[in-house]
Amino acid sequence: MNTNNTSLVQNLLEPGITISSSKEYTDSDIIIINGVYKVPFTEDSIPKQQILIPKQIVLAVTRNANYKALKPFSDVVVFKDDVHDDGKYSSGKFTINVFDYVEFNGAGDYYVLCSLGKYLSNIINVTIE
Amino acid sequence: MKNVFIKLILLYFMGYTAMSDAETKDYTLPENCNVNIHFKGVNVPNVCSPVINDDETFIGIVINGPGEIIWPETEKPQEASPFGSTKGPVRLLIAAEFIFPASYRDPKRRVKNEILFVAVNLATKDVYSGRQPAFGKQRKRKKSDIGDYDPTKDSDKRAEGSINPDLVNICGLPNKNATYIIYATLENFKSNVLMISTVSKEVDLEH
Repeated sequence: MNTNNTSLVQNLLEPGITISSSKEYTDSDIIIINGVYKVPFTEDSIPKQQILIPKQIVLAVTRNANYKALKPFSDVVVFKDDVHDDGKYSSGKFTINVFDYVEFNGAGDYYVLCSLGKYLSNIINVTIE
Repeated sequence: MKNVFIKLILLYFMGYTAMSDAETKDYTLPENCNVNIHFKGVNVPNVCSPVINDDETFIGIVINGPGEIIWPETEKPQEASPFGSTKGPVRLLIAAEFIFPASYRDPKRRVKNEILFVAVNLATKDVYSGRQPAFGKQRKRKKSDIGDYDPTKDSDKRAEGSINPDLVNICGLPNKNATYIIYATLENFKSNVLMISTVSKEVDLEH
C-alpha cells in the first residue's frame, strides 16, 4: 500500500487528485482506494485553511442502480502532519475502504471516482465476483 | 465538422451570439446561460446545451449551467410531472450532451437514467447526488432510451443524446445560499466540472 502511495505522489506532477486500488485488498467485503492530491491554495474551490482540504475530498461510488456520494473525511480530525505545504500547493495522501461508506456491497462492477474542489480523479473500476 | 457548423448556425439564429462561450478543443459551452429560461424538455437540446466540436471522435459527457441562480426564499421546489419535467422558480437545470460507445445502445439499458449527477457544497460537508428517474411508459419500454441497437448492423453507431435534469429535483438541493461543484459520471466516463452558486433571497415574483 505504501509503494502505491509513493508512486502516485511521484506521478502527480500537475494539480489534481489521483486514485488507485489494490487488487490484493479487494474482495466482497473490502475495496481499498489509495489516493493522493495536490491542489493550489489560490484555487477558488479549495479551502484556504490547509487542514480543511482533506475534509473536502468527495467519494462517489456506483454499482448498477446503487450509488453513493459523500465526503468520507468530513468528520475526521486532520493534523498538520497529514498535509504538506510547499508554499504554493497543498498535498496529501488518503486511504478509503469503500465499504465503510456505502450501504451496498456484494458482487458487481463498482466505479469509484473522487473529487476535491474542481479536480476530478481518474475512475477506478473494480469487479467483485 | 459539417454537423457542428450547422448547429452553430442554428444557435446563431436562436440568439446564441449574445453569449460568450467557454471553448475547449472538444466542446463549446454557451456561457452565462440559464437553462431554466431556455428549457424545452428533459430530453431536448436547447440554447444552453454544450456543442461537441468533433462529434465523430468525441466520447463522453459534457454539462453546462448558469454561474449563479437566484431563488425566492419563500418558494419550495415543485414535484416533477409524469414526464420528468419540473416547474416553478426553485430549479437548477443542467444541460448535458453525451456520446457513449455503441454498446450503450443495449435495449436493456436506460443510459439517461444511469448518469449520476453530483453536487458538492464547497462550504459544508454536504454532497448531493441523483439520477434522472424513468417516468411512465419509459419504465416498460422494451427498447433502449436512445434508439434501437442491432449489434450486427450498428457496431459503429454510438449512443448520443441530451438530458436536462433539474438538480433540485433529482439531487434534493435545498433552497439555501450555497456554492456547488457539479459534475456527472457514468461508469468510466466523467464530465467537465461546473461551479454554480445558488442565492436564496426575497424576490418580487410579480415584477
